[in-house]
Amino acid sequence: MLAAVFNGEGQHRSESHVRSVLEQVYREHRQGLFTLALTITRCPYRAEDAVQEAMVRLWQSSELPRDPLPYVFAAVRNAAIDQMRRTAARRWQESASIYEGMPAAAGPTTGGGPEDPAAAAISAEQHARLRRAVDALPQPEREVVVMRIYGDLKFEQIAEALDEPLPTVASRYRRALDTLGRRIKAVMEAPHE
Amino acid sequence: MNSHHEIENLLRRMPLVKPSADLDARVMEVFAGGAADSGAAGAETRRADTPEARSADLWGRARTKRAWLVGALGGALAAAAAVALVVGLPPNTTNVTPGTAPAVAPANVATNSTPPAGPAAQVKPVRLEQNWSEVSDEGIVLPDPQTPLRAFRHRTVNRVQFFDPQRNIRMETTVPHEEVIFVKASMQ
Repeated sequence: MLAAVFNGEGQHRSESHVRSVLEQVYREHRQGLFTLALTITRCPYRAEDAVQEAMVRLWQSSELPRDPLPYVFAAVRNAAIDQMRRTAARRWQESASIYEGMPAAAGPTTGGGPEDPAAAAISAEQHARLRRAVDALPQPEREVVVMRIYGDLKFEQIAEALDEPLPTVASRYRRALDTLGRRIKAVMEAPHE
Repeated sequence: MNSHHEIENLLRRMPLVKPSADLDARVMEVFAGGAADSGAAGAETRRADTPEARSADLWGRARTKRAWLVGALGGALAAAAAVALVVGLPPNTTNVTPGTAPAVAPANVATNSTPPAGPAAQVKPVRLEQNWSEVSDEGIVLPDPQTPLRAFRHRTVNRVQFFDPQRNIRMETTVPHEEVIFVKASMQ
């Protein structure tokens, strides 16, 4: 766990220490970091660039706070926003979803799935509807959902990463789930196959 | 109806787009130490792998560079114009109107203006500086009976005008100054 590399001090200035912390954060949260970047850039290539750029910046900063998770997520988010600014003049909009295309068959999936494989079944209709619903969320809400669901961040960490008050983040998350619930209501009520 | 827990579970079951193995290599290269620059270079290479990314980059970078260039040129021109207005241009107007002078009687009007050098000078910004000064005798004062002093009141007004006929911009500053000078007087 990340706690293993903390020495209890507020800052970590040792180069090797920073490297080990960053490596560990990256290994454990690679998918979440990438998904957050993809949520913002909507382009997998730029999302990867943003993740790499954030790691370069963090590596160059040679300093990490005691809890590096929000810091790293914030760095990836900033790098992704920078990516978007750099290409703001483009004439077309990227629209890549954070989700894979239609699954070939119902069954366990690889998105950090549940413990019970039987419950992992997700129909094509559910998939399509959820995908559309998440993609249609406002970006601030989508970011919170991604950090919470796919980054496994606590609300306090999300608030720190976004530099927003905790109640704002929590209400944003609730609002996003309410919206998703309304949009997929029919599918949720349908019996599972 | 749908609890948040259900929706969260459903979201967790969604198959996510996965980062490529290439990203791992690039990030590990960063962590390898001293690879920050090569990492950034790797990002450039990676972006160029896709036609749409390459096209977007070229367009975006060109626009960004153009924007910076235009901004820098505009800033430089504005700065040059400001410096030329304040420092570089010779005063070249004859439109001095003593009637607009302040109420102080103009005992000495010094105008350092010169006529325009030619047709081109007519469209250049002009700078006009005027100085009025007056000295009046305030009489003898005796701060102490042994040392009589004569007081002179010296008033000056400095007025500077800028006028850009092309843009019809006029600026004017007027600085009045007044001082009393005491000179030792001899009593006979």
